[in-house]
Amino acid sequence: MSRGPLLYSLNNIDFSYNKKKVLNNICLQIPTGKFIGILGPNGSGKSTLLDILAGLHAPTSGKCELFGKNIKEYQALELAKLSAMMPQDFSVRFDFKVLEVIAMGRHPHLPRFAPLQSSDYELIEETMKLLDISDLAERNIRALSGGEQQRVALARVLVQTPKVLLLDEFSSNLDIYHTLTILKLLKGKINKNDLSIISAVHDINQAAVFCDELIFIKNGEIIAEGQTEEILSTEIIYEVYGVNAEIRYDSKNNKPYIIFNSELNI
Amino acid sequence: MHKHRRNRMRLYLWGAVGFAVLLFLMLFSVSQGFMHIPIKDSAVIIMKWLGLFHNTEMPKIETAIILDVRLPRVLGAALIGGSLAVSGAVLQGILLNPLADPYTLGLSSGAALGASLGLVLPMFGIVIPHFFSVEVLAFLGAAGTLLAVLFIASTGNRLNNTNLILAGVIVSAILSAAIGLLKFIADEQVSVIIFWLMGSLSELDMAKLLILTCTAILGISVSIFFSRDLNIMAMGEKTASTLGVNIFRLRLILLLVTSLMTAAAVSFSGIIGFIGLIAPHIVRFVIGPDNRTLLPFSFLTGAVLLLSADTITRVYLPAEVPVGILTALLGGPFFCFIFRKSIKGLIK
Repeated sequence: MSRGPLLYSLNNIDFSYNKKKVLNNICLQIPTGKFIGILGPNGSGKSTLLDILAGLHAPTSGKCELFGKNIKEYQALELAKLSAMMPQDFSVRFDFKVLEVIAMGRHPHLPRFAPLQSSDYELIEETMKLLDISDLAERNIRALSGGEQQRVALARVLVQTPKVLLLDEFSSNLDIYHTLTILKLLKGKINKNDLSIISAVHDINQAAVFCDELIFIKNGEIIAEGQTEEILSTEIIYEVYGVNAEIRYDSKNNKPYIIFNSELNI
Repeated sequence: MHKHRRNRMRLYLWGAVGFAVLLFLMLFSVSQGFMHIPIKDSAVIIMKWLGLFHNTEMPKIETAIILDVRLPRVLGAALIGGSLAVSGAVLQGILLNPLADPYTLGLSSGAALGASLGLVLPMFGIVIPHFFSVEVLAFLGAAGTLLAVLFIASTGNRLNNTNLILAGVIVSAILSAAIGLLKFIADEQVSVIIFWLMGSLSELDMAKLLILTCTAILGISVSIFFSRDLNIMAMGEKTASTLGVNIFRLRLILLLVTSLMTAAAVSFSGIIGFIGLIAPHIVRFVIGPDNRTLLPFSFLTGAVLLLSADTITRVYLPAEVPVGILTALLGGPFFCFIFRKSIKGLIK
């Protein structure tokens, strides 16, 4: 993958946790302006890879660069202006209101004691409208359903106005209507706001339709990476997930979709 | 935008009400006691002391009772209650645990053991360097206990809610037993050590108030400085990190500051439990969880709570019961209530 200016450059990254190797010799060149999906079975290292990209974990060995600079060398607040992350398990302690939670996304952009400016409020209100959560502004975050909380979490990372958005299975609790509208919204933001998105994706069909490029990962190693249409194949799916699948193409837009064979070869 | 302005007005109103209640309660409290002094006279005596009033001549005995006996105690109650409440709010925020407070985490017991050691060791001819005064030992006891509790409760790099409180209770029990042992060994000094175990505000004077004021001002300023970071912590460590909060530094600084406030409070008043647990929960319920307002309001609420409790034990109960017993009797059930809510997932 080396089209367009470089976003991330990962060289020989190893990561061990409690002496167990979670990532093994990861090498990636990730371009800007793409929607990139990370796919792999449970426990394959998807979330850990995202954590490394977010600068949450330092790799045990190897180097992770963001915009050509080692991620370790960024100041915490400087990094927070460039990258935002929506973790898989988003939960809030204490009874904050939805509006307060989303407003926390502005933290890296505000001086310590500065109140929110009217431009901040405008951005927050606009984002809430896009995600269909304007009505929830004054509600207690912990009284919301899982899907509503996920949309709030997404609004929180969007108002952080990062250059790269790291998402960890952001749609696991969303209904199909919200999943599709949000995917469309995110695609639009890539083009309009000079944004890049890297997301761990559970649903291969979703990835097939919306991701420009895919990274397949298994047991902490990259199995394949490249443009979606080029690398999506029954062989790869079998190698990564161990299931038989069939790839068909939508006659209208020529996008691939995958049908799984219920008879597993076990 | 109008709504945000209205919210701010509401906060100022609550602040004014809280401050007025505290001032009135202080005035009321200094006028109560074995010798009843009318509130009006108490006010004149205090204003004269502050240099705001010159003309009237006040009786010497009343002046002495108010300025030398009751005022230090009333101010001390407010400062200690406020410090414990801010410590509780901060600990709940950085440890993401609604049950945390200096008492449930064992900090208070640690400070009490440090302080008791400072008193008992010299009795056995063990020389403690002058620098390690009772207050410094109390601080070391509090900070050491906190580290031990965090170490026991942590698995990998995660802190489990229930583990943390269990570790606090266990360490606290061990420390209380150690204090009991000291009490047993140091027969003559028993009354002093019992004072630390039960908590009482009867030993306060102006010099101690000065130290308390300094630690309270330092503690609350540092905490408020980091109040927005504390808000962000509520979204969990991962999210807070990606928003640019340096979690390790935040925890280190705030744990030091809460240990300091707790140590000062415990050195002068003994173990007073649950104020740090109750006050922040009351404020969250009435005003909301935003730490920028939670911290100052917790100070006010903690001050009002401890002052009320102390006035009740000092004035209304037939024999003076240590105030720590009263706060534990009233605070314990409150702890159970919060614990039930947290088990049911209402407070995660």
